[in-house]
Amino acid sequence: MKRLLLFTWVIFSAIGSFAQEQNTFGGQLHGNFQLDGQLYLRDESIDPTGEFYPDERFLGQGYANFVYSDGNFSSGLRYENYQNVMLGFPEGYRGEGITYRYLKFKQDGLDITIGNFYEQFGTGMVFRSYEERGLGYDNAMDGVRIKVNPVSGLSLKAVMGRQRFYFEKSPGLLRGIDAEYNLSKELFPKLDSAGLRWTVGGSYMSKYQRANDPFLVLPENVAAGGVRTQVSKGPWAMQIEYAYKANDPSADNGYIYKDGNGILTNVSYSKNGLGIIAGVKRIDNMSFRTDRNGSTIDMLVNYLSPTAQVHTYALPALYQYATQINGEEGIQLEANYKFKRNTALGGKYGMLLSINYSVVQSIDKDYVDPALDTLRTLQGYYSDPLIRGDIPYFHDFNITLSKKINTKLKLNAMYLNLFYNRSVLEDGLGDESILLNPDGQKLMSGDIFIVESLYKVRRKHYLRTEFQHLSTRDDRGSMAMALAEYSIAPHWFFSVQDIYNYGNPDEAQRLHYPLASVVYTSGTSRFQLSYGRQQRGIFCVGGVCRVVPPSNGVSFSLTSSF
Amino acid sequence: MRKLFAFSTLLSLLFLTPQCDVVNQPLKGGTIDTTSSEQRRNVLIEDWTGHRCKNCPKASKVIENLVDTYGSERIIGLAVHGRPSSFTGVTTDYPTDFTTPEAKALQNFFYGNSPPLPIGMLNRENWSSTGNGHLSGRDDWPTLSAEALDSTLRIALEASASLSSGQLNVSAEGFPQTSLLHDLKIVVLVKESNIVSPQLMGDDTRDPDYVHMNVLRDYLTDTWGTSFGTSPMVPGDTLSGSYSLAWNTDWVKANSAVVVYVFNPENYRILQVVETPIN
Repeated sequence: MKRLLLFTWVIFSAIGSFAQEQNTFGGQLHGNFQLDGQLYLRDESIDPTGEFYPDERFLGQGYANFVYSDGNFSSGLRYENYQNVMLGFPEGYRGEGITYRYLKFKQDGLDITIGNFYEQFGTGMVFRSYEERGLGYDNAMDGVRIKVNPVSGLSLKAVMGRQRFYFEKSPGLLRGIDAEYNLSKELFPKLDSAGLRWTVGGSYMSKYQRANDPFLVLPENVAAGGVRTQVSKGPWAMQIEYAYKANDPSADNGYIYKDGNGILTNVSYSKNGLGIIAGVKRIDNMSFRTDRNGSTIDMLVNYLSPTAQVHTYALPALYQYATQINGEEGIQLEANYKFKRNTALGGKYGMLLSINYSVVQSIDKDYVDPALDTLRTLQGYYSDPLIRGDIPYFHDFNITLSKKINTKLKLNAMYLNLFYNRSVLEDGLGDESILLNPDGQKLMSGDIFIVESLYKVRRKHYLRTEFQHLSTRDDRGSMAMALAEYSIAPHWFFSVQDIYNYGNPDEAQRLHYPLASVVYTSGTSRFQLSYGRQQRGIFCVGGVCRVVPPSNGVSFSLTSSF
Repeated sequence: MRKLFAFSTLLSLLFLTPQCDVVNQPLKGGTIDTTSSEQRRNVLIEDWTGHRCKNCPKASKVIENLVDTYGSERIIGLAVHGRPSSFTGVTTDYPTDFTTPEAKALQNFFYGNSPPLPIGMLNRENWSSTGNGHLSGRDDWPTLSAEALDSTLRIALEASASLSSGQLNVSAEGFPQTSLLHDLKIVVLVKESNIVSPQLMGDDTRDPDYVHMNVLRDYLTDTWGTSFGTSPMVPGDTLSGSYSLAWNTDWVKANSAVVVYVFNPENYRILQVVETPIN
């Protein structure tokens, strides 16, 4: 223990000497650093055959970002190392190197970036380049981006480049442009002065990928475009985006030449403690990658946001929804109401009630007879947007109450009813396979109860607890979870938790998954040490998911910034 | 401001110029001429597969289609049953153990602990110590095969195999077609086809009578190759080697074949591969 403390102190001393804003050549240098590692222990209970147990007992990975800025000029780079990549992250991350570097400057009304950059057109249905480090997702562009405001109210973005594919580049090239115009401000100033905001936008993206297929005439240039509008006035706001993609045979869609389309609509209202959001989405064959043969989370050009709530609690997070890029339709309704203080339901401190409902299902698909090979390849299927699909993918209905009981205690309580089509969301089974054998679907439905409390023990001392229970006869069966976190601001944080899978249909798998962590924070640096078991699961961010294998071991994480 | 507007318009046109290819006749049809007396560069598709991997039969089908298109001399499939055990392990429903320690060692080197299946390598092109550019999904194989088949042949190979007194004997000869300024290694292996054993299918059903093709059985050389030629080698040189292995009586000779390939040990790139029946 003394050695561990000494090791920690040495690291923090070194970081502390650097952890302040650096003034270099008149500009400013900022950066951040993260290092994660895990020592894996053989655990035959969760991994009987040892298939997930790495030959290397220790796996570690990290990165550091550096950004230098001086007036209208900025530049940056990111170094990443995977020695070797930790379990659950894409194995494409092999080795080390500078994976992101750019120069950016503003001159004569132009904002120019060369090298790597992240960008998004509209909601991302046509193009979104972004990084989600927890997923191991990074489709950074490497090329040129130009932003310009040629006339008042009009903003243009043009991009050209290749996407990152781990330590390589995508085989396809992207060229695109996006325009957004503030209609109310420039053309209808009376509406603008009356509080109505109205913008319209459009985007276009073209992908080029060489083709040399012996069987198929593949389109080397594939285009996608979208139009959007956003209107808001007072408590109301509405956003609509429609996207279209031309023929793009790919591994995702089974090499059919059908065009794709998608529509996303959100309406919201917020006033006097009441907030309502309603979203409707329908996508049909909107997989768009810079490699037509890509799969999983590799080289996606666009981003199709999920119409489902993202849960941070552990048990609901085991069954997160992943957007089905080949086609889905769904709605999401969310209502929040804050009961005011000193009312019957609000009590002394008020109370927040949240209700969320989301449901997603397949779209209507009338498949062309495979015997008609040319038509089948060209069209694949016909879809009527006015007809509902037959396959339920997911639903989530939840109610949350958040209430401050007194000056020391806050409570959250949640009930959640869940339906999750494992054949679709975990196994990736296509609609046609399911329709041919609907009884073969693996489905999961269950109810989850959660109670969370935050208690102020004394000044700078806080205790947070969670009790969760999943009740189901499907998949891995019922589970219970308890968690306690004790934090001593601003430096220390201790946590213990256990998930007990007491309802697993396989008695040998009725296991405990304990996890204990200690965190020390000093300024902008944070060191975490954990020990425990992790069960297999799916980790999702924004509808994009990856499978996490089971593991057991000691892990650490060090983050710092300056 | 006018200049900026004009520039923006120009920029927009420039970026909007790339057109979209609309395809009305997607199928190429026709046949590919596979008759040639000259040896050309062939393709080895190392298909990492497993009998409990439901998408793996699709990969096997891709190889079958490529063999139908280009001929069995030019497209050589090899089904490598290694990891992960959730796809390759033996159960009551899937009783045959197709795995070999060599297959697991290969996967461990070229990928890591637990590869996603099906995945494969075509002539082990584009290997690097960082990244997985040498690995490809089944949907990439037609394009990659077409490219590899059109690439320059740097060494021609001839091989013959015979079985006598329980011993498999293979002889191989190599004929450099261009100057080779790196050493060469050779790998000789046995594969077996037409093995009837259960396989998990794409619709999650079990096919008890599935016919497994191109199953890697064993190596006559070291898995990582045996020295075959020393740099420099030039056209006109002849390289040769003889290799043997005790025949496993569980293997059916009529369904088996020998695969011979030579590769550059610096980057593992397979320069030529041939398949020969066992006499």
